[in-house]
Amino acid sequence: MGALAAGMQGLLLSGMHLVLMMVMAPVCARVIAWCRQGLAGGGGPVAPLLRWRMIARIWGRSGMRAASGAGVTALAPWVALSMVLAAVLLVPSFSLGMMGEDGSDLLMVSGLLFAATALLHVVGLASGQGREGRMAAMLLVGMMLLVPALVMAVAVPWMATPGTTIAGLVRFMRMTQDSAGIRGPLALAGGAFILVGVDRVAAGGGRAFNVMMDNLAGPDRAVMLFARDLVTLAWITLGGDLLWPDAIVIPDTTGSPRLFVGMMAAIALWGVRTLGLCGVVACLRTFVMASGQVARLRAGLALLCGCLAIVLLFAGREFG
Amino acid sequence: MTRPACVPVLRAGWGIVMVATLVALLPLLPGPLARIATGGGASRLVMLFHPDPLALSALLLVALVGLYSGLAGALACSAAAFAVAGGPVVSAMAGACVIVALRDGAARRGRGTGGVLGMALLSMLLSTGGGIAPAIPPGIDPIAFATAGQAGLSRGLVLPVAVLMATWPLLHLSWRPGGGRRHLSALRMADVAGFVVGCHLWLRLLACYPDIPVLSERWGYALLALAAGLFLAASLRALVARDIRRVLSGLFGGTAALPVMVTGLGLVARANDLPDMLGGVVACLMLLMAAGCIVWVALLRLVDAMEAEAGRLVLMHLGGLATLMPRLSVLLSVGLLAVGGLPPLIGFSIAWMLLRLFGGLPHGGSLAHEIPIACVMIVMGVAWGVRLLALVRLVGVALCGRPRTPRGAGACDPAWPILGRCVVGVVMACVVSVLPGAWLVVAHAGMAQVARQANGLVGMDAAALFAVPSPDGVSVLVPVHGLVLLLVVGGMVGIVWRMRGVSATRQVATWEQGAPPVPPWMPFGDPLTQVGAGVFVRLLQDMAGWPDGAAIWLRRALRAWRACGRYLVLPLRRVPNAPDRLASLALPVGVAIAMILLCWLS
Repeated sequence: MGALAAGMQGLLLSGMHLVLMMVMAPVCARVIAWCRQGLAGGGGPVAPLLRWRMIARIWGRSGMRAASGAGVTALAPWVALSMVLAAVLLVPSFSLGMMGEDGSDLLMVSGLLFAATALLHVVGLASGQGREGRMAAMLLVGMMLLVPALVMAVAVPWMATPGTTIAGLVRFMRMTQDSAGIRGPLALAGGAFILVGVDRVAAGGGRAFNVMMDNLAGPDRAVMLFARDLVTLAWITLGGDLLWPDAIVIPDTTGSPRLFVGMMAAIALWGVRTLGLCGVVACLRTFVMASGQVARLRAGLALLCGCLAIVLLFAGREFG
Repeated sequence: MTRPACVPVLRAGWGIVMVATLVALLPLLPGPLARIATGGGASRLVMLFHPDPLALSALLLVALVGLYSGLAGALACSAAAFAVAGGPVVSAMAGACVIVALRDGAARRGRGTGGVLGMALLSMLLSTGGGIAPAIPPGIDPIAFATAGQAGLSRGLVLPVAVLMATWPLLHLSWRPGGGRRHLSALRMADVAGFVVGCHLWLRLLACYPDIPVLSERWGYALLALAAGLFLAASLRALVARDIRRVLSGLFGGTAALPVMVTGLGLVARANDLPDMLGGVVACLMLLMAAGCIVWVALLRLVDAMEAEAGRLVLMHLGGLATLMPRLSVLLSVGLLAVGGLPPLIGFSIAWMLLRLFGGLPHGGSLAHEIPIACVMIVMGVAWGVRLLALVRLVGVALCGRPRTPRGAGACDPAWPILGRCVVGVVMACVVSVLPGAWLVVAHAGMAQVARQANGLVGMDAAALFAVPSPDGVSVLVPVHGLVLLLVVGGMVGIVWRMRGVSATRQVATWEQGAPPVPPWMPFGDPLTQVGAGVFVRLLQDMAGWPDGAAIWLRRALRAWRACGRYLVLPLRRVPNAPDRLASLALPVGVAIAMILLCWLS
């Protein structure tokens, strides 16, 4: 009974988590765009479902793709979407106890998200057009500049806590008595993850991304837009888990009414945390990365976060 | 004609060798193996051909390479078989034969001489000290056997240098970041045999390095830093190379720098007495040897098939291969993803183990001790990013886009027998990704020999077959879980794909963005409007912000270095054809140096 109930609970939690992330992804992208508009001086209503309506409209159109490179364009957005969904299933958002918790290795999640983003950009190279290809090449090189920062950001939690999974990290932070020396480095690693997720075209209407999809229409284009939003939300959630691991509920009993109330509170907390991080991302996009050389600045900042995390982790040990 | 008749005989021979090695390795027949290993038979036979468990696992992989390489790589593979399983002198001579057989005609002169010198040194070192080749007889303490006081100290100093020199040409190690014909040789199947021999030599080093903590730790960190730099140089070579075989050669050089790094980590683990980490290091090295061999054999088989169909694989002549030969492109993408490190595949498992081993390094000291390790990790991260960019460049220029030349446009999928062999190779690479423990079960006796444990086979259950061996005894990675998750999610996405009817999408001609129509003699459009192979390099140079002044200083430093080199060789330059004569003098000079060392050591 215990194992079956735990399995059912895990399935239910995974389903809720997946639905929550999928629904909130274009909403968060719209919130980031609205914050940027507000910070840049323009006004306007929030309209959180604006991007959802756009994606639904594009999904409803009849499909069209370029004849050259049709094989790559037919498969790449969908394979990227399945990789992002697999990564999203592994990252905990408001509670642990989901299915496949033991496989939520930090390096595996980062690798899946990175590979999905790379695959989305390869679609621009598929049809062999000049402008699209150059935009895709620029975005890809900008991504590859982030790999050392990602390696450091994964190595810091691995060195700070025993075990490699995100769920294990959250449980360790909950149970350990003296976690003061680890919170700083973990927060910096989370900051590095959020910087990785601050795409140059993070919030709706990125010019380079749209140019890259010039020869696509219909469901393929909608899937590419949705997958990009989901990747951004996944990075933000991963960073948020490292910044504030106490906000995640650990369900140790099954099926008690207090648990349900706890879950609702956790979902509300997650929503507040995510919207706050979206505001932070919008500020970063507007004030810090407003110039043209965004890729180099982003990679440099993320690497700096990683190095500071290492310094904090080991300098703390020296004195205590 | 004798040539077609030789090939089935060769294949049958390699097949027999593989079956014999498998039978000897699996724990079914330990009796005869132990008798052979301790020299129960004729001692001359033992000196000539002498397989202990470590050599048998490498021999299995060499037989696999021989099976796939056919007639072209027969010499190199046979020499590799003797280099791996021979007695001390025979193995060094066979290793020198492998280096000579792998020489590329276009490489600069005297390229393999360091390797031949290193092999000569190794043969002298091995035959004096009662060497590494015979198995440790039972009843003798392995540590006392490996250390011999003063001789142990000098051997500890010289042995890594000798192995590094010997494996320098075998593992394609090189500091040169250029991508031209002189710096980079086109990768062929026989190079994978050299890789197996090189890995085997580093495993031997780890097995028999004398037990001196301080020297071991220093050499370990030195090898770590060296391997990180070599990895970066190899990735840069892959990024600037201009045809597919040279790009693969650069990627292969990156994979081949990893055994040096893992051996360095093993030396540090032995110095600090960390048995879990040492076990993880040995497992990682064994898995690297097997996975590197299998994945690269599969990739080279695919590239051979592609070359037969599409002509010389110059990047600026190809394009649009994903449309012209879809099945081969899918197989090539899977192979490249395995090399690049996509999560369920074997490249990711090795990267995971490597990062865990870095985390397992002793952190007892202060911040000043962590800075070099952090620098090494940053260099590895940069090199990994450059390597991924080289992979994406290969896929983007050759597989995506439109064909650039009529010869490239004439490519199509090969016939089923050839395609079947390529599929078998890629399926073997996937099997090794999903069942990493299976190879470790086959090679457990060799692993026990390297880690100097008496009893090798710990209780292996079915679950351990699927798990990547834990580098520090705590963490576990099971690639099958990731694969199952991806398949389930992919199935759900596929259902949505089918329901929306995406396969009925109509294909239209690309919008030329207002450009004038393409002349009729370019049926695939103007090749210059596509993204070429140089765009990625130029973008990386622009974005990574190489300052303008630095290039001038670098050129001045290079010019000064070359001038110094010329002045040093000045007396010899009066003699015509100096490099040719030098190359033939190298072996006698090497033997003379080795004799001097022999006198000093004994």
